[in-house]
Amino acid sequence: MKPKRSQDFASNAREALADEHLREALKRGTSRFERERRDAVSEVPEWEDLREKARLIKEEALTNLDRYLEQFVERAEAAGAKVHWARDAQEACSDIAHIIDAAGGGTVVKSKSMTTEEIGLNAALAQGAPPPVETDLGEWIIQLADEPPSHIIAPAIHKTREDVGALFAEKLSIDETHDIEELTRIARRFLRNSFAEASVGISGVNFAIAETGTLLILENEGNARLTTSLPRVHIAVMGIEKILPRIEDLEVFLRLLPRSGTGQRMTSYLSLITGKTKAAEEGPDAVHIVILDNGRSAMLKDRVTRQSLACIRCGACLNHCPVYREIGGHAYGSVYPGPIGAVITPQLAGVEKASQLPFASSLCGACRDVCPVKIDLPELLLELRARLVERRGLPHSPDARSPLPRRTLERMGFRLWAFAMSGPRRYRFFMGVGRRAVRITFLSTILGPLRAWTLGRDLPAPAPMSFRRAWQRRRGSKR
Amino acid sequence: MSTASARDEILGRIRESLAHTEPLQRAPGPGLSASHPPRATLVEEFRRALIAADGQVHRVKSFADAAPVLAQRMAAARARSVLSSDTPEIRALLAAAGCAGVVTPQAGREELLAAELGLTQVQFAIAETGTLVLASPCEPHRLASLLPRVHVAVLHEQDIVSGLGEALERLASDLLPVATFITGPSRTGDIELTLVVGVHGPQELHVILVADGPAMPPC
Repeated sequence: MKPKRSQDFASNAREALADEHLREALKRGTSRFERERRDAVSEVPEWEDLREKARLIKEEALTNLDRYLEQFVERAEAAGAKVHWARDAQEACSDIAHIIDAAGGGTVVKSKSMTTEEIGLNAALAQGAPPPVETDLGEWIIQLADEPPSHIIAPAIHKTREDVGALFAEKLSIDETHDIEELTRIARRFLRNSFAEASVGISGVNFAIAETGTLLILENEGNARLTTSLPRVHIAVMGIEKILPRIEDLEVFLRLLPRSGTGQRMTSYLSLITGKTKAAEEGPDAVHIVILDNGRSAMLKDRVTRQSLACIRCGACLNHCPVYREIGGHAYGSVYPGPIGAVITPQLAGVEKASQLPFASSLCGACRDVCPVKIDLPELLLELRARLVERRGLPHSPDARSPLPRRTLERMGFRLWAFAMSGPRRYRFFMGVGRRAVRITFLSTILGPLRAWTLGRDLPAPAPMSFRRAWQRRRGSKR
Repeated sequence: MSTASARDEILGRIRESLAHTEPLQRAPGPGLSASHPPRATLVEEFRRALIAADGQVHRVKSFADAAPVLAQRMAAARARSVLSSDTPEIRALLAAAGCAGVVTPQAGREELLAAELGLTQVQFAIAETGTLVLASPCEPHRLASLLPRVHVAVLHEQDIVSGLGEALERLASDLLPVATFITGPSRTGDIELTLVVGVHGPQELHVILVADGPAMPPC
């Protein structure tokens, strides 16, 4: 199935729920991430202390961001890097296109970067030239399939070995195999050819250290190292929020990030790049750093939304989200999926474009519990919901069939609820009516707006006796 | 490109957004992993962590004993050419192991990509995670530790530190243009989260752990 990039979350979600194949792949992937994270975290008794330290470091970095950014740029330039500032996606893409042109074009290789997905870099560069070659195995798979990533750290998590085997056979004109090791060897062979001729490498950035002007890139495959060492020009793309004040701050984040993401103590590779290497040494002749705003500066305004910028993109909130686990990343219709996507996307793209996403959560709080930097995702989701409702009423729900606008209905409903709950007699009366009403099974299908709820699940039948009645009886029999 | 005005505008927006926010000041606290276990404990912890990360450890007594291990690895990898830097120690080690085909990082891309084994020294290592830290002002390590199928790294036991905090402190004191942390071979889990090693970089990581001898001499 080729996912559409529709922005109607409700219909995307319904489609995903009907796709058994997809749900099987998701279940396997997210359960495994969950298990491995739990094991890795249990090794660290001071885990909660680390999370609190990380939260404070991010808060310090963000509330002093102007100062730290200036310091970072000054140090990086002193070490020989060239810095470009980009107000938005379009400016970032055109800066990068200019750098590539100035380098004489040729093959461009790219390592995994959500920020470059956010700015639509590949599509922007593909105008008139072949697009950059994605070199992370998962990214390469979805580039061949012409799909967007469906997970922050495992972009092809929705694909099975059979899917990948069939895709490689079709796109690379080779014999079909479903052997994972063989498929990986094939990827190495093809991508080594791209590396052999690459003239420009584009990477993302995990952390940028203000004190030293250093870029950090974490990875397991080694493709980011190849991308940043073999071509003559390296372009690193980072959001303004990647800044950490000091090198020593890394200790906390390096202990949190791999364990939260893949359940590893440490990723296979970690590169610290400070400016460019001297001419006699190996490595690129030029290092360009593109610093992107694209709506981030506005999130700094208040404490609640500022938290969104603390995210270190580990993916743990996706793996633990009961919504993501069932429908996967494509249903969100946005570059960043899952709980963090549901809070970042409306802020980056505008609430109008992603108005359903803040509602795509049960607010269970699992995301908040696993977040390594303690982002209060439910608080953020509620804040965004409130802003949306204040702005233009409740979101459109395609499942609601009702003669009255939903907003009016909800108001009436809550008034009735408040009335019923504010006296024991009223409570008893309404409960009695309610219990009887729910027994009439067809009622849920005609109750207009409630249909949206019963579409995906059954309305549970009430117990034969209410708790209050049972309690009274019990007390009566004891006496 | 209008980078100067973009810079001013972005910084202006940030300042405007933060105008009513009290900036958080944080006193730098003490490092997190300040324990200093005895040397033997560190070596054992490092060995276990590296094996857990799918690396292999070969313990030898002196630097001279490293040569036969390297020769073995070259034979096992059927390596005709070894990619390594051209430092005196490495040259001596390769000569003792009987290696003739040495490619240095300055070679052409074709030659670099054809090398079957990469040899590097390790400046220091982290016991907690089994991590090798490659950061030397005199030995370019980026390609030798990455391009060939097999990476052999030489580490002195004295150069093992206990945790990340110490490692970062050591790095920060003399920051080089590039430092690389290596924990096990190149790996991926991108197809059904099934672990496969050697996707882009080395499939095998061998650490020759030398008991005697000084910590890495400065060059």
